[in-house]
Amino acid sequence: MSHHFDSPTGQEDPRLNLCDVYIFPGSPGQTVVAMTVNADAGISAPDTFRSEGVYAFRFDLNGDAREELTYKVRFEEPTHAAGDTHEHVQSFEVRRAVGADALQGVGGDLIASGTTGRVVSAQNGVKAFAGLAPDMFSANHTLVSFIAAFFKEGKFTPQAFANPQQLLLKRNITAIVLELPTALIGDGLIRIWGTISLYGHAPEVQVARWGLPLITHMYMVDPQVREEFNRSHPSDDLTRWAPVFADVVEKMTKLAGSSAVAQEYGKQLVERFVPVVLPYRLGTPAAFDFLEFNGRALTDNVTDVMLTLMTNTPLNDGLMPPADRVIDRFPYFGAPFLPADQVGLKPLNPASKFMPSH
Amino acid sequence: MTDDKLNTLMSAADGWTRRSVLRSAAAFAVLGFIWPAIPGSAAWRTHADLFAFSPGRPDRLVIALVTEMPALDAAPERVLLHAGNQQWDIDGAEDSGRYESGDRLFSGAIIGWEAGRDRVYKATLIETQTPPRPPQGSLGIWAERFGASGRQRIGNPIVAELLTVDRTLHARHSQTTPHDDRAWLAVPLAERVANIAARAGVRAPRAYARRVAERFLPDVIAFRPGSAIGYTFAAQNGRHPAEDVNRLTATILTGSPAALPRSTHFAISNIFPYFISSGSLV
Repeated sequence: MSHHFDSPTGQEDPRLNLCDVYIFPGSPGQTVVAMTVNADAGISAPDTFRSEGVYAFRFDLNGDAREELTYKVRFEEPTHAAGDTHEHVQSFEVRRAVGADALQGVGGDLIASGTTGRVVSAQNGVKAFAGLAPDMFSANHTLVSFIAAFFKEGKFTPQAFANPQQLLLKRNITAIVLELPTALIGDGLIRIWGTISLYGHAPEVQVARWGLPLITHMYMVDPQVREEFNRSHPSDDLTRWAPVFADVVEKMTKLAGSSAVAQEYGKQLVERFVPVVLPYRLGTPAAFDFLEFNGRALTDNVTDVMLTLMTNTPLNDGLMPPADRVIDRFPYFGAPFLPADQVGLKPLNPASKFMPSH
Repeated sequence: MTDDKLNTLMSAADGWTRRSVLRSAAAFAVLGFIWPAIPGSAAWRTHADLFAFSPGRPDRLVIALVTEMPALDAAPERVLLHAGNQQWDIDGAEDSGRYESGDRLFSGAIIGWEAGRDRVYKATLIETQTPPRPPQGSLGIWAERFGASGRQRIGNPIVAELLTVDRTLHARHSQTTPHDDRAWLAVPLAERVANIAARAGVRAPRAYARRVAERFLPDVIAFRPGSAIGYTFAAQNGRHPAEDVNRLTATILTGSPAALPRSTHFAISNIFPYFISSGSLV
């Protein structure tokens, strides 16, 4: 699970659980950004978005760990689809914000609007989709035991992956997907991260953040620390989170016997991870792999990469993202799993207060 | 693949699934990694490793070329060590000493470990002041040795492994310098990596192979002064003799996590020449 169920806030309200972010090339001259929310949507999570939520894709265009450009997506309250009391629909708007608006608030130029569950094609070349989608993250249940063995028992247990168990098999999620003219983002190397904030009667507060996969699950075992990370900003990562990453990998590589000088490896990992944002050279094929982080395609096996980096040991959790659920056109997420596909699946998040009504 | 070889790989794989081991092994058969030396291959290539590491002091850098121990009656081999614009020309007969510049030299027998057994190797190393960071960010470290079979050029483990199984590439590599690499080696290297990556099931293997070629050419150990040193999954900056590069190299070339027996490695002390010389065990 990338950031699935990673914090008390996300467990209590899955609509505020930012699970994954992707960025990859779309049609010629276009770039696709996607965010997934609501892990286990339709079973232990809603298939809707929170109306007080601001779902944002933030772009650092100059390497200063601050956003110069933000695309914000906001939703109206859900209503029932015509003639179907079980299906929910929400109106949504997409805004492009620069300058002070990129940093906070709901301001920005309206570039697309539509309804969930349908592809929106705007005149400026922007496409948007928000709705139910198959969860493309491949999560091995034994990852939990591997991490627990390290943090709680001080053990390195690669044998945990000998019998892979797909945690998210045939699970859905809700996805927000934008296909943007690349020129509306910038050029060259950019860095992206996603956030979810609450904006309404109270001052705006960020409640979720995603810059790289599995950060909270692999490096922060304390739920309150995860909450703190989710509310932090990349510009603070070097002072606040770099020591956490370095400490974890120093201990892990000593256990694994995989580093010549553990402290040096800790420094190398910090250089690679901090700030915790996803770099991408616009216009190039996306690949999150053992060579580098360059965007992220829907089928990239990020778990193996992050496990290997954490341990400086080539680790294979035995699972792959479901490539058969990817399509070659917008919104690139294929059809969600139907109820008939999910017979027998139990809720993954019993702490959720938002079990779907049927 | 015989059951014995599969069992060897599985025991080194620390509990991997059989499917992932077989996938890796299919690619590794191309590399000639863990199998006994490919018949006829050993005669034209002497294994050599190049290291660049800090001896515990960030202001000092050690560059070391380690090779198989030459025959007792072999003529001393001349070695050239390069770091950016600096060069050290070392007569193989030299033992140890200090240059006027303050650089220190060692040339002699050391102990290393391969497949769980200790062996004697020949090391030629320089300890020098850590160079300043160049404008381009990193400098290239590489070596030349002039032995009975002619000139051999040594750089990073990724390229070295591909040269192991390709005599034609190795021959041309030995006649050129890193300055020439991108022009002539990028395409054949990418072709070979694409073949390996495709067998391992990498998505878009040709695009992946081009990225590998772009990253690891020219054939040098890249060194970025002031950054943490290590040839690791997180970064490849210098190379420490205690590191296991087999797994990293195989993972990079196949694009998939690759379990292999540990590569030859060396214990390092904090006393010059930092390697364990074979004389120290007497």
